[in-house]
Amino acid sequence: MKRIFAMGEAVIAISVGVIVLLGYFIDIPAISIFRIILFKWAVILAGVAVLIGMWNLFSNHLKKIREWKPDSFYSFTLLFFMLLTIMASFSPALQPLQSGLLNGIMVPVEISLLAVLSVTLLLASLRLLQVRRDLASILFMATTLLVLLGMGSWPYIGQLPIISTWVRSFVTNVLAVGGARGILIGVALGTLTTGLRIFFGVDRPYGGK
Amino acid sequence: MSDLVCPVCGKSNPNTVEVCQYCGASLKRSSAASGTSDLPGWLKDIRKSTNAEPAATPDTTRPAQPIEPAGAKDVPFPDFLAGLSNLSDEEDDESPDWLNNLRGVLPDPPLIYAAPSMPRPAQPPAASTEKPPEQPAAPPAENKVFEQLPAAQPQAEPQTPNTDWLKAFDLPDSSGSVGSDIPDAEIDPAIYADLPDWMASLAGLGGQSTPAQPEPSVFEQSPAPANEPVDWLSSLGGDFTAEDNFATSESSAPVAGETPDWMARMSSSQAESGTVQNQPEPDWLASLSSSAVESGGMPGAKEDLQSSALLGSDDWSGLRGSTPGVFDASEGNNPNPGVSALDETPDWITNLQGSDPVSYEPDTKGGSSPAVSPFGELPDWMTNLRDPAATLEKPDWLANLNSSTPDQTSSANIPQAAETPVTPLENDNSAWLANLGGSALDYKAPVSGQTLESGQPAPFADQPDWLSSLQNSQDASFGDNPKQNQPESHETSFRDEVPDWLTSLQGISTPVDSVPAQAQPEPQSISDWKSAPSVPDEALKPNEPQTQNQPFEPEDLEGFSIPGGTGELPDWLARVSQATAVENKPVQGQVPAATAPKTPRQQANESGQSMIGTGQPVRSEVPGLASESGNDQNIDSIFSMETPDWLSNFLPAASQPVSAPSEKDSTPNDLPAAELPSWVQALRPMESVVEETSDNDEPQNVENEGPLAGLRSVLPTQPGLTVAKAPRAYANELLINETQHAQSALLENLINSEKNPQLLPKRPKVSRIQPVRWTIAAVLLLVVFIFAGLGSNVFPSPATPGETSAVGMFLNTVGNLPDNAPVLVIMDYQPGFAGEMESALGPVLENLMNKKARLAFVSTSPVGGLMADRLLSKFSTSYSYQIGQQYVKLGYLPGGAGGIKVFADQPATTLGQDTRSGNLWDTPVLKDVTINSVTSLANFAAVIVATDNPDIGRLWIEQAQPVLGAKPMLMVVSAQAEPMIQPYFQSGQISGLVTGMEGGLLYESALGKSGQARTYWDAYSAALLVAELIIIIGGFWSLRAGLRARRAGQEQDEV
Amino acid sequence: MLSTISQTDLITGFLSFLFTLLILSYMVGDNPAFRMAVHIFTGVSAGYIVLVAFQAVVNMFAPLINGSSPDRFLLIFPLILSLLLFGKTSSRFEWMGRPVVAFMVGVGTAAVIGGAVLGTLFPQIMAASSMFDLHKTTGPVNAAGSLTAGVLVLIGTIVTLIYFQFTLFGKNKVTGKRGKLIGFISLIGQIFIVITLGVIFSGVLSAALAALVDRINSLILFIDHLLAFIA
Repeated sequence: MKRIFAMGEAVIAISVGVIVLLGYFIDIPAISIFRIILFKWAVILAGVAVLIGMWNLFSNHLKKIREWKPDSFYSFTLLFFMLLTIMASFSPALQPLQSGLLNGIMVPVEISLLAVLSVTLLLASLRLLQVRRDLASILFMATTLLVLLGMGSWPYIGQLPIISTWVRSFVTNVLAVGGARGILIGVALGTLTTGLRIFFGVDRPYGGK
Repeated sequence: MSDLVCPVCGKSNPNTVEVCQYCGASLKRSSAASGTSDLPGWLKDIRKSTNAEPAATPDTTRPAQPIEPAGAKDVPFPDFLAGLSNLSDEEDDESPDWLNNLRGVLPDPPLIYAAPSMPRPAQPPAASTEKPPEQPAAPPAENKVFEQLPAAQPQAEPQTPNTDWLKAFDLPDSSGSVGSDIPDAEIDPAIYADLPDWMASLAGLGGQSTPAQPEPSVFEQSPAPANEPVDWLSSLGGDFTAEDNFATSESSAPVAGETPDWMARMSSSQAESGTVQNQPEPDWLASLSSSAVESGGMPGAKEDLQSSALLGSDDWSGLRGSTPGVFDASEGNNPNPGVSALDETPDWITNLQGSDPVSYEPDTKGGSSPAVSPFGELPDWMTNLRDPAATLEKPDWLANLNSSTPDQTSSANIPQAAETPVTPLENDNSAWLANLGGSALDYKAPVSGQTLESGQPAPFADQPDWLSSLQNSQDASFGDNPKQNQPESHETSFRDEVPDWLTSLQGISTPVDSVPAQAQPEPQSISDWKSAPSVPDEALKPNEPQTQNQPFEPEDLEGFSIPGGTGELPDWLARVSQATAVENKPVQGQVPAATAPKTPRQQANESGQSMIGTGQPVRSEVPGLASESGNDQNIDSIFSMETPDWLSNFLPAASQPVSAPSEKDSTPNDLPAAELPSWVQALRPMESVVEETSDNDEPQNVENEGPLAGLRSVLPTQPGLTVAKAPRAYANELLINETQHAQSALLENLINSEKNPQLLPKRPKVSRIQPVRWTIAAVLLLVVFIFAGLGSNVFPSPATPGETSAVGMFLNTVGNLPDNAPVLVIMDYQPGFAGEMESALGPVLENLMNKKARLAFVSTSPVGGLMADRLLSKFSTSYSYQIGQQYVKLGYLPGGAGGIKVFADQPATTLGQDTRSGNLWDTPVLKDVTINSVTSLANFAAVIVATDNPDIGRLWIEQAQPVLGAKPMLMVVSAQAEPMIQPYFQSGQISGLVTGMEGGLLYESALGKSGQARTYWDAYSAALLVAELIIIIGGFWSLRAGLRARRAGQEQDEV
Repeated sequence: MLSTISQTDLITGFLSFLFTLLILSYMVGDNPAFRMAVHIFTGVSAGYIVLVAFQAVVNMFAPLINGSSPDRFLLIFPLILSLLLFGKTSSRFEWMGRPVVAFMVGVGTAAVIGGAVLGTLFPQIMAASSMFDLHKTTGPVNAAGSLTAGVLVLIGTIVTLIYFQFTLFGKNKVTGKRGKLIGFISLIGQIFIVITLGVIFSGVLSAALAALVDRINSLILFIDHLLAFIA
């Protein structure tokens, strides 16, 4: 029975994927209509999946609270503010609260987290050559330095004339583009390969054997 | 009735016995008329052909053909195989083992040949009851065998097909018919079924109509037409031209159960003369015949030799000697394939002709001085029979043969043979063959006037000297038989004058225990030799395996006696004995192995069956084939190529007497085991090997009672060896020792520990890195706070972007948008990048607001709407953009790439259906997007994607950009995503790109406005400088620390 | 300069200031305040996401109520599938959601493949050669520069792709090392990749610095507003 289910899941994934993929290369009205329907169903299901994910988050923290684990207070806080945020949207009277929660907590915290990242990145760049001294590390730091020098301005000087124009332009628009294009092509090929493996049933990320 | 002389051992036996009391050879006589009633049919045919065929001119230019026995009827060939007449009918019908093996059939019980023209090969001892072979008797007794042969010939022809091959050696009688004493009716067609080719060809020389032979599977034998010259020697060769009627080389391979080519040729040659059967002749025989013909030897000897196909072409192809024109298969003018070999006279035959063509002298001792073998290399059995001394001169019988066949050289059918000088038998290996041409052979040389088919060689027209000498020596040894010098009486004289060596060989070949019980009277002539009791079956039995590889011992020749001869060893044979005395020391009672260097074929067939008669090794039974070291090379060169093992190891001496082949598998303990060819050994099942190994088991291993009675090597079941007890009961539990238990417990603990998270060790609250982090943070915060709080304008803005730059193209694109155009803005950046993205997107939106663009916001992130609100709130004071009026938020687009794709294809049905607001696509903001009830992204004036994630930007480019067509797609990205989006900008998939705060500042500068980017620029630039300083300082610091560490390491290493 | 600050803005500002400090306290080290702030942030974010996703799903299923019959019929299937997908929340009924996940995987995979081939692979390969199109350039200097840039970009693309080939052939299988030629080409590709990563790192750093600047500015702005309010 399990094998039948597994085969059925594979059949669903492969059949649906083939129909959708055909629509990219073959313009057949019948396939296009069916393809749009499948897409819409996938969009709906993706939204539902987000809700399921949030429910999973909620249930895990709830379980922590129920079990009175050491970090259950944090979980309680999390769930409290989660519900508070949800509740605040139900009533227009709580609109300021919602605005406060979003603009006062969510956004600033996230920005602040990125701000803290700057210190961490600088500390990492400072210790990079201590930990690893090779051509790649030196070249990495040199490139970073050149781009930063060409990006920012100097007091009263402005951007450095040659570095900001030629060097930075050469590095970012030529050398970095070559590498980035190779990475993009490689990623596309890898995506193609992975997708084909799923279509051939070799990989089954949806579970089953 | 007089006592019977054993043709093998030469000892007399009473008439009442059928098997020699000494060697076990069959004492049965041949037919009364020819003395070959017990002879195989092929042998009878040989004899008949030798008697019927007239002498013919040897045709050396023609390919080797079986020698016409009729041509040799003037040359009395000693019927050294007259002893084969002792073969019983039953035995005659059975093919020899060696022959059967050659044909691939199970070997039959060994048969005894009553070959009139070939000495009977030595046979192993017949049975355990038989006495071991005696040492060769005194010279006078050596001729007893040969003496018996002529007497055996007149007897009834043996019905065995195995002996007919030797009929080729029959000398033509006065009537010109070879083997005329062998009635045609007595020739059993079945006799050719199991004969090797060469034997069949020999049988064909009997001058009789070729009996219908069984269809050979291997040998493509076809009876030679009548009057077709038979070249039994040519039949020995393997390669014949298509014109040859003999069997091809393929068919020349001896296969048990079928008539070999040589024998067929013998029969066909016999039919021609007869009945001569075209057979592919081995080289040595072809050369033999050619040499005989060239030397003007025994008429028909060549044909006989060729047609005899002693061993089949494969085995005997090595016998093709250097003598040209004898067995030259390449000759195309010889219709008989066997005759083609005439062009290539084997060395041993040429040697037979040798330097002294007339050196063949009758050996009063019964042996003729051996001459150089014209064949070059004889098989081992031949070499073993040679006597070094005998190679120096022709044997008497061979000399007699040459002298008695003067008109064979005029045969036009065998020109090659005629041209080839007959060399004396300098080679011991060819001694016996030389004698074949002589008086010792009952060879029927073709008589003059004998009609032969055009192109057919006259039988024995070009018999080699050795053959002639053989005859002469036979004549001489047989006591001045007046028939010796007469072609007509060649047969009888030959038969009456069995060379001593032949008889002696027969005597040697019969060990003590194989001595026929009934000694036969010494025949006085060749005919007597023919009519002599055939060699008993026991004498013709194949040797035991352990005896076959033993070299020929000269002492073995002592017992040879040619019927009708003086009983002394021929000179050549005596020389053989002298030569081999040093080389080999035979084991008592065992047949000495061949001493001649064996050809690969010989070695492979070392233990193979004899192709003469019984299928047992012949090497030890053929008299006159004693090896002689001095001329081994010459003879060996003849047989070097494809001499079978059995022939290479053929030993005439100390051969076991022929015994009834009643037992094939089980051999008595005292009998040497049969030596099988290698290819036979390979075919033998392991059981047979096991059985052989078990031969040495002690007698007590033979089970005497019970259901396994009679079986050997049965596991003993003596009391006490096996203890009957109940099977041991094993516990169902897993029995493990302490070590295994400990290991299993450890494994279980390891598995269980996987479930428990490992507690990380507590890190110190203050680490060495913390001060550095604090410092960096402090510096950054201080610098940013100073420059942000001061609101300075110290750091100048970047220069105005060029039109070709990414910002410039973005500006141009937006600038080219019409006013109040619907623009789709995708807000796919995270709140954390709001500071940078708002700095970059703000001027863009402000620019769009300036153009009164209608904005539609959509996002693949749930917080996109919030970001849109946050951004628009910054411009709320400057621009009164109201939701639903100037902008709409289409909402959250889930599904990733699929959602983007479906939104790009059908945006109206994917998003915009708000439960509270209704259909947003119908609002004034997006009313222009729906054209003809078709809503498409292409209906937007532009699509601006604002994202901090390069993957999201790539998805929008991949899924949505193709739908836009000519409509521009612009991107506002974070500085971290810019390197991965730049290739898309360079590829033209996006029309403009604004990157981070710098891009925003450039945009603002282009617009001439000051926005958030300008506000943040000084602090941002200061922060960048600090970062650059930190990176530079950190780099130097790291290099210095690395150098320190390296120095410390070097110092430590030095210490 | 202080502007009129509403209570909302004051509360929002205060919260922003507070949580900013809480998060920036991480520069000193991990502390409970930072964790609390992070958990609060997570809760608020999760709540907001739930709201947005729910609204989106509801809007997608709206035709079930007020849509046409074909729309209703077509929406029955995703409704059923959505209910089956909820089985994923339980280990007992997890099997019910696997076909739905398989459906989503199939659609998503096809979309990704189609986009990668048509949106990235083909255009980027074409773009690697379009840089040699001298018609777009003006003047020899630009042409020379364009050619040089095109050659370098092309080389960088190729060597980057070669660098990611880790399959060994022949006798290299035994040694486990690449051949000399491939090793040299991989080294050049590694250089290009390192340069690209360096540029990315600089962008991340600049973005982080921008975020820091934004936070500092927001702090300063709040203080300014607060002082103004107090005043």
